[in-house]
Amino acid sequence: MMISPDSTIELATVSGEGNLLAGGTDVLVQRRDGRDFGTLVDVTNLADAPAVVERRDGLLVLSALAPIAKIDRQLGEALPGLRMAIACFASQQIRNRATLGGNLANASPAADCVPPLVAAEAVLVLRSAAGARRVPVEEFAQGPRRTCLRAGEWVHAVEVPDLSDRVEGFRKIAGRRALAISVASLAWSWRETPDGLKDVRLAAGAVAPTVIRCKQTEALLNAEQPTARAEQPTARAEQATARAEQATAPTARAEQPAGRPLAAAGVTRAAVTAALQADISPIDDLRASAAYRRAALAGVLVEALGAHLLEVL
Amino acid sequence: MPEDPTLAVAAGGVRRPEGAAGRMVGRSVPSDQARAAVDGRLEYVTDRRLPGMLHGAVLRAKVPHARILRIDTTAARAMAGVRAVVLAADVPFNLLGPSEANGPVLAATTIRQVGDPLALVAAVDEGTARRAAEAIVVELEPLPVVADAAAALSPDATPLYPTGNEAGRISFASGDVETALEAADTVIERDVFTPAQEHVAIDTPGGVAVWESGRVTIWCGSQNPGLHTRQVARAMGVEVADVRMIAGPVGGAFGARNDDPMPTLLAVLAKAAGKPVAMRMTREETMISGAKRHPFSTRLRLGIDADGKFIASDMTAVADTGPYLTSGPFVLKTSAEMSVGPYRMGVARYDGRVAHTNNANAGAFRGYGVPQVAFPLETAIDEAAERLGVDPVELRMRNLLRGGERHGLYGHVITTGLRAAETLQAAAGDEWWADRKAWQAKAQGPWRRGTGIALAVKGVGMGSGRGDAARARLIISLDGRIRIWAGPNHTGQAIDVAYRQVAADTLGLPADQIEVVVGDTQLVPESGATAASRSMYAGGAAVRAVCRQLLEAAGEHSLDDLPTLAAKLVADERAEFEATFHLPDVSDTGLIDPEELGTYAPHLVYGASAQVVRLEVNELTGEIRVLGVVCAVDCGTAINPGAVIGQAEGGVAQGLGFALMEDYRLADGQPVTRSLENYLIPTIRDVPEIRTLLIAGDEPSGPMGAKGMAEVVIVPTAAAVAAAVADAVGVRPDRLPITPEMLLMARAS
Amino acid sequence: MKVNGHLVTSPEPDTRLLDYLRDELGLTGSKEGCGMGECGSCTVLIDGRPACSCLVLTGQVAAAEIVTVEGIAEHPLGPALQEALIKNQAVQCGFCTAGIVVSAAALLAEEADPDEDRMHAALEGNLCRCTGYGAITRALRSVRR
Repeated sequence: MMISPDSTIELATVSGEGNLLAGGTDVLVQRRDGRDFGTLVDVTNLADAPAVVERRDGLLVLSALAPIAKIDRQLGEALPGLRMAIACFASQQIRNRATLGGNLANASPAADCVPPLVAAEAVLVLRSAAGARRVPVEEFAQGPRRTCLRAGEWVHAVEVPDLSDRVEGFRKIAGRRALAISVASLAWSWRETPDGLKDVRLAAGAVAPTVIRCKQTEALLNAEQPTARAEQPTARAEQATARAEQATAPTARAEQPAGRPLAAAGVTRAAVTAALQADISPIDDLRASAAYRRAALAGVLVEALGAHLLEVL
Repeated sequence: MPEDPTLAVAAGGVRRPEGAAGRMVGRSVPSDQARAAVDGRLEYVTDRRLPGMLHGAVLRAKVPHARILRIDTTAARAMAGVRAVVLAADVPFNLLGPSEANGPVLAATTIRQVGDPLALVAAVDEGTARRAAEAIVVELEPLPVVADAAAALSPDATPLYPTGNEAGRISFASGDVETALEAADTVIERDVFTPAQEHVAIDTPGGVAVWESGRVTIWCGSQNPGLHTRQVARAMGVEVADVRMIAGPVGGAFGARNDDPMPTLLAVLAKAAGKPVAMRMTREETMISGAKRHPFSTRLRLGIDADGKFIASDMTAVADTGPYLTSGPFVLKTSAEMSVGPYRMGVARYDGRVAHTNNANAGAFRGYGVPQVAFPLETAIDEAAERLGVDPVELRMRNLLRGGERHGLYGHVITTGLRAAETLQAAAGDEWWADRKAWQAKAQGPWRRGTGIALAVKGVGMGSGRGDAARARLIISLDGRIRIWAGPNHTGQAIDVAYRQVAADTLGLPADQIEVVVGDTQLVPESGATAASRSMYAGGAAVRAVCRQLLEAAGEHSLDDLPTLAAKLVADERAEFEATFHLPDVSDTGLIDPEELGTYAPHLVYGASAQVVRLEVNELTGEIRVLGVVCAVDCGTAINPGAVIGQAEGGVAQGLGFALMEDYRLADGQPVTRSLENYLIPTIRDVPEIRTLLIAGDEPSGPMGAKGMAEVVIVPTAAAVAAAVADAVGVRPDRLPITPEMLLMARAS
Repeated sequence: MKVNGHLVTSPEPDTRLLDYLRDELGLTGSKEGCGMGECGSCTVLIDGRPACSCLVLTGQVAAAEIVTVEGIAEHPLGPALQEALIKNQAVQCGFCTAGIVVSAAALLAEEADPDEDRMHAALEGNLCRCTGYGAITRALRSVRR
């Protein structure tokens, strides 16, 4: 059985009667594997569905019910981290059907669209017959395949702060270069200032029961570096030269000779790696070992931080 | 001599030889089926629908090893729409081959692997058939699972058969290897594992069967339709002549349709149902029950003297063939023969065993045992080159067999047509090899660069002493049309087009006056398998031979006026011709007792491929990006260069998959990589630009100088990737696939 | 819904689009290679965008325009693309070809001269086990020029 409500109100009246079907790219795979979904309630035919992408009150409001490829096309230059995640999300055929709501509600720790939303501190608008409520995306998933959605509730929209001064990125490790489930993924979002990185936010996928913020690593990177502003580098190249000289014996910041140009965040590779290890709790599975997930995610972070670390790669 | 020895290929494209008008050989001719394929009109055997047709499903075992106590079909038979339920007892002769180890059509007393077929159901639609199959109740008594090939060969292992778990062994030494190794200046030791690989033909096994008047017609993909008719006839207790296989169109094969029981399952179920039956395996069924490439554990010691000469090779191998005998012992023959590669070897020894386990059944897969031995050998040579400080091309050149020389293990004399040295030099002449140091120095960020090279040969045909032959039949009809029914079937390589090219040039006629039909056992004389790199070579030679018969019969009559010639030949009752091409055995058998030639099945003719791989490894994550492959191919005359390049590129892509991601895994006999979500094959993003170089050559025994090439192109890829990885980050992988995890962990330790 | 320009009556909403096309409409050009969106052989255009018809229920596309490989010849660049695939010998077994044709037609309709990355993005969901993708890439390049 499948029913296709054509308005939000109608959806609200029937959404409790079955399982919600959005793009179907996951539900139909599970159904084929023998899972019984009972009545499917299609959420993709609402005449009053949210706009695909809308700017409002300093927010970018994304439809959770629209195919992610459509969102990607309408984002323009906004949310580069999310767009990078979409670019390596499954395949074009899947992106043309799959929705943000489905990717979120599926609650896979490896969901590709989720880390950039977590790093962007997005808020989800959940709808039901009882009305709307807002939940920070980080609190939405409660474990693998478990969310805070109540009976009859669905993810309607995603509100993301519309900030243009942030540097965002996303990178995933997977078994091949397209159409593969993440082995580990990392989304980052920070501001690059003359004083170094600010407001660093990191979200990691496939290294814990849900997509997580890497709080300890963020704390390390956001900490004031007492000598960091001793002298500002004028160019990245200068930094690199300076750090190349130090590379033979990377030392803690406090021991750097005063007046030398220093990396903006001023932390060592070893320090961020150690902090990251405390943030994550990966497991062994078919795709990779926990040990590799730890090492690879650290590698991705080091690569992302690049010249912001003390050592030259 | 080949008509056109000057074929060459530019990067990423085909430079077509300037053929004389009307000359077909050497031209890139698209497949006859291409037009219908791009329009979506090509009806594959799995698209076929017949009036009144029922749909079939298979109940498959979910455990790897068990005794069957009881199968209760009551509930299934009672379901609405169910028309037939078949168990082992309903199959007249319940074996897929002459011996018990060939496996039953349907499991009767014992389950020996996950996916074993237990029952067949025919119903009005596929969903009903599948639900009914699941409604069958099976009572089992679990048996100990034999999950490790080496352990399976130990005396205390649970035997799968009364004769034990050894399914085959080849042991051969050309001299005293131990003494030679002791005398060697350098000994390289390799202890490697290569995994099971799944074919992933995009079309899963399936088709339609219908019985009429005691005869069955089966539309089902097959690389060996003749073998399948015999298999069906045996199981059903009918004459081979009463079984007709129409083996295409079909969506890919790569070895999977050599050993596929699907034609027999279709025939059995259609007989029981008394109606046409269509059946198609899901991808998951194919993954768990279809044959795989044999996983090999291989040890190699390679001894080298102070001049860089290979003086000793000692290889031992254990292959896991799963519970049933299909290709296992034959795979071992090619693995033994190719254990020394295309090299002179002072002395050599090979000792290989095939073990029965409760793992996935292993059978034929492109390369047929050769990638498994080329990987340890070629990576050992690369390591030796590094240790000796010799260029890896130079080290190979010092030891390379030339045409007409003696084989490194068996000592038989090989064809003069081998161009392995020219092939290696052509690959090494590409700028991707020549400029590798400068390219490596330009590496940026965490991405380290490396370039590797490897070489391999693969025999053409089933080997000496096997009576290998292909046939062709030709009829000239009164209207002057020429029809040829010819040999090895088309499963994606457009071999029928190449046959027509050979026929056109042999007869000196335009290609459109000739029709070629393949794959229908009622029309095509027995020609053996589309396998062993033999189709172009053997099938093409049979076509050439049958065309020459027509020329002889024509005598002074010109072929310019075909209707007149046809009228005369028809009147003389000489309008039908049939020719057989017997693949030549080696004439000098070297160290092999001529009485035992078929035991070792050495080849006279080999194709060769040398490949260069350039790639980057991310030292922070272990990720690998392959950025380019040079694939030089020694194929003799390229009858259809575009098709040859297509085979080369496809083979390299599968080789990259084998090298980097394909890993069919089981845990205690339970398959864990059951779908295309977790068994990964290369996407378009994973396959870089491939530069194919066709090496001008002439195989004297082949049709117009041609020989087989579609297997050898998969063989050196993994070793070239491994060499490039070693060049990039200094890690020498000892198992496949080479994963980011393996590299990162190796660098960390 | 419309299929290749023809209005068809809505079937059972919870039928897979692929089954409807193949079994009810007899359009067997779309192939099933995996049933889970991994191989792309069943790719069709839904309102101009490629999707795996094995992962769509007919009820979800009741008002949509569907184009299958059988309808691609009516697509602006369809015939040129099909010719190019034939000429470049990009068809071996041909089983993935329907999906490739559909994905590539959508790409070329959107972008006359796609770069390598766009071509990869358009075809990364279409597995081909025969060609190694080289001939397919050459065919697409020849059309875009």
